[in-house]
Amino acid sequence: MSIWARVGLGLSGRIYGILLHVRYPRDLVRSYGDDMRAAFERGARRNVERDGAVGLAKFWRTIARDLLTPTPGPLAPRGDRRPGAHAVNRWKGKGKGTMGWTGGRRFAGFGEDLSFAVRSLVREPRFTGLVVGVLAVGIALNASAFAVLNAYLLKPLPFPEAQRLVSVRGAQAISWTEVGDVFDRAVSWDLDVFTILGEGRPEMVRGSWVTPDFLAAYGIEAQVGRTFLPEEADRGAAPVAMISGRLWRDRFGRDPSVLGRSFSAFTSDRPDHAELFTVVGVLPDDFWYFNAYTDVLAPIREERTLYAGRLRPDVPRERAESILTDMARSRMEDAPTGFRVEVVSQHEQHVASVRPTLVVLQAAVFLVLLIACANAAVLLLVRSARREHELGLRQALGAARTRLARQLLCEGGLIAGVASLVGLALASWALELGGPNVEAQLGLTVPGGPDALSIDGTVLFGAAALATLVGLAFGAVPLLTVLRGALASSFAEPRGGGTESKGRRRFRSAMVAAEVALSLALLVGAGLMVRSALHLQSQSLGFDPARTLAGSMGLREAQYPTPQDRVAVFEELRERFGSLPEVEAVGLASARLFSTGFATRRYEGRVGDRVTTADAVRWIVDESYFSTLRIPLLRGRDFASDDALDGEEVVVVSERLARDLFGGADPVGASIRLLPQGVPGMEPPELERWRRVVGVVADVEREVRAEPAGDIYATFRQTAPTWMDAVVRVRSEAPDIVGRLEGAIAEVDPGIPFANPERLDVVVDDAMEPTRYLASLLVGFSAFALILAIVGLYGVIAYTVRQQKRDIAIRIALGADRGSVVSMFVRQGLVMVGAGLVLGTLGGLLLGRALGEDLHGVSPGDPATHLSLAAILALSAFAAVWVPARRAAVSDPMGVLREE
Amino acid sequence: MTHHDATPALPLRPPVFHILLALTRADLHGLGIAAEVEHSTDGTIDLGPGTLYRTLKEMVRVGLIDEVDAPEAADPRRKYYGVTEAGRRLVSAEAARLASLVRLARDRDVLPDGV
Repeated sequence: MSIWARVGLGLSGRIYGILLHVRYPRDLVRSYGDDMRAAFERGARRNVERDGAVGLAKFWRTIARDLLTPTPGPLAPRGDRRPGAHAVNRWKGKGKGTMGWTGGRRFAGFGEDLSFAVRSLVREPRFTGLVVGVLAVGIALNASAFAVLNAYLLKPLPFPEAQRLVSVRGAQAISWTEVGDVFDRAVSWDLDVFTILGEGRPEMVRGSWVTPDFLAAYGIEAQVGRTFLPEEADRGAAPVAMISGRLWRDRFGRDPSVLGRSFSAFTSDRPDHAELFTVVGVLPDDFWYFNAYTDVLAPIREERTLYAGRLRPDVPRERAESILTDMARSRMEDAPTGFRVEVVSQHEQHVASVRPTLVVLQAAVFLVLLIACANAAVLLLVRSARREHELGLRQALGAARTRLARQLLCEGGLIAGVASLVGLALASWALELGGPNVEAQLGLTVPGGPDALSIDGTVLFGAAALATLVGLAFGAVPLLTVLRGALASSFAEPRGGGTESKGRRRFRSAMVAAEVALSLALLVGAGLMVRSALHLQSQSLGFDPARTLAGSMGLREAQYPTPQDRVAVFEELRERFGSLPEVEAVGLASARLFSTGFATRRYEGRVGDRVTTADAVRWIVDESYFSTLRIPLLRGRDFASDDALDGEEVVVVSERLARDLFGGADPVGASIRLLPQGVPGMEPPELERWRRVVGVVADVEREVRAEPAGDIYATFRQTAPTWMDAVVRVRSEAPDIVGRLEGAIAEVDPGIPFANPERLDVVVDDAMEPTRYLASLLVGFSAFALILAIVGLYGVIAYTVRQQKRDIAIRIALGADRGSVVSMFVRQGLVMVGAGLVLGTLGGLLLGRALGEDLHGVSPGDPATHLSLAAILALSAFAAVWVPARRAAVSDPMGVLREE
Repeated sequence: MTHHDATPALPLRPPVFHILLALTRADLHGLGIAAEVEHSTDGTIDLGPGTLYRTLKEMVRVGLIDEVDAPEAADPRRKYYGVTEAGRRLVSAEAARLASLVRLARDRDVLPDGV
């Protein structure tokens, strides 16, 4: 079978799949949809094998009849119930019909109009194919982008009555236990890492301490066992846990008798000894939550800040916000003016980061569709001029003007309908191929799971709305010609006559100018995104991720009770790593660049009498961290191995924090402390002692969209954490390095895990993926748009030249200079291009503004981008005008005149 | 609606008649029925997927056919159908009705030669 036959078959199958959903009741499609598709594909394949393209067309005719057969009611026949009997009559505009078609005179002849439209389009397969193809690509892009937008922004979270689920921000002074008048169920949690012990190496999994109502608030049931009981959150209650489907499978082999079994695990909640958790339930396999800390859930055993909840049905979001704000204010000693508790929809909060990207993409593909429409309209217009003679003749022979109008509308509708079906089929194809990548590329999970990325009712509705618009627009173009009644006269003129109506020429020029403008806007948008992606790639990260690897190591406090023990074991681990031959350098840090979300806190800085505050991210590192990641030391000194527990407490600050806190003053020797919190009792007083700044290091990019805040570094020798990342730079590619590092750890203490090892260069690369993705999509769209605009421009000029070849021939025969003839056409083309460029620049500025947050290191109005792309477009447009215009001048004038 | 109310009267719609005929020989799945009908009518009756499955669903509902266990070697995802007692009676009645029509036609000598 040829490649085209295969493509035709694939497309047909998809189109049929879509038609199934449109045509038949949902329960039929649910129980028989797969069989019906299989039957279709079998039939289509056999017809193609027998007769090729003709066979496929014939098969579609059979299927069309099948689709138009009305639903067989009760099997008893009443009157004529031959399959298709109704459909045929309805089609002819007779009979009662069952789809609300009233028949009657008004629609008499509709079937004739339609078949006339089919015939007139089939007669010009190249024209029809071009227009349908251009529009189908436009519709496919829109449908796929809309399917993604729909899955993220429009579909609710996969929880019952999800609109009542909200997150609460700024309620530090309020506990989840005291808001019963606002929430049906209030929720709080504490994310944690559970180190599960057992045979072999300890396993670290991500989990959360949650309020006992947590699962009920989201309407989630256990797949095995039960959720938590209120008394299980009491202090002193025996620890219980729910485990994820994954953990159940991997650790317990999906054993149904898992309930009542127990596992011991360390947590940071009780770091001094392992606790024995009894499994009471297993979460559903498809359980989804905003964060990934769901392998183990255990009831929280202390008062905690309110984070989220399910609002009571009678409490709207605004009321909840004002009640909680009043409550929080009454408890704060001096609440800042303007302080308020924010209550936001959880859905909104989850998708906020991708909203701008998705909206920009949707806008971009909509522009592509507009360009495609303008292009197709130009093609139609050129064709309608060719058909003017035919239409005029028919009118002269007595065809009603409304009848002609209806036929033209029918053609427009048919083109739009077929293009939509092909477009939807292409879109469903694209989603199937590209869908799994979308989550990775946007950097955010789809709430409804990857299956939510599909052509569903909403997407179909959107596509249908677009198709209707496109169809009306298309029918309307030639319609205007008919209604203006210029036909009767045109039929008297010789074919290919020299003049045409001014209005139509103006409309055509406007279409081409619009195409140029929209293409330029898109090109500029794409150009800005490309610059932005290049900027991200090339910008100094402030550290060098090449050949570095990070993994987390956690200590059991029972085994390493004193700060000295912990410092000593981390030192020993570091030494072991450093003695491996393939390791070039090793450092330790409390957090990992580009992977953790970084929270800022407010710090107070004092130099001389001046006291200022600024936000910063706090790190705990060792004295070789900066050198391992090649973060330059700018002033003062690095940490040293004699910065001991009992010595003076010192910190190193980033350049930015030094500037924020001390301005131009010398930061070395200044003092810093964590600003005491406004809410008493909730935040533990930590780091609230003054510490001395001993050095300044360069700024690093923490993540792609980092908060604009500096960094403050303390040394692990004075803080003795139980938890650190080892950052290892290897000499050359060392594929087995993780195993070697794990071996080194096991020599020190086999109870210490090496969790979540990642290559930093990969992590950084992944973090930039969304920007690159958006840039590459926009480049693809704008290239398509540019081609369409050039084709449109070329088509119009070539058409005008053909129209006026008699005029040209006469002029040249009378001695006109060929160069001046060419320049006349070029001038005509460049007026359109110029108008398009001016409008396009404005559009580009608007699109640049809309890209806003997605732009890095380039401004929306960046002159270099705007000017260079306008120049590219102008040059290609010039070529598109020049080539056909030249043809006008080289043609043989006498030959042309003799033709007439 | 009970089965009695919905029991179809004669004449049967062609798809119903052909599906019943196909199933009197063996239990078949949907595609198998379509193939059997096409084969036994020399391709003059081509049941489209929409007609076929909507009709099957309706016939199951009124009790002319039943979903039956698939044969051992068959694809377990496919639904197989078998004709019920009511279906068998109905198809005989329809065949008898058609036969009497043919007899009538023969008596009036309107059948072409060789039929």
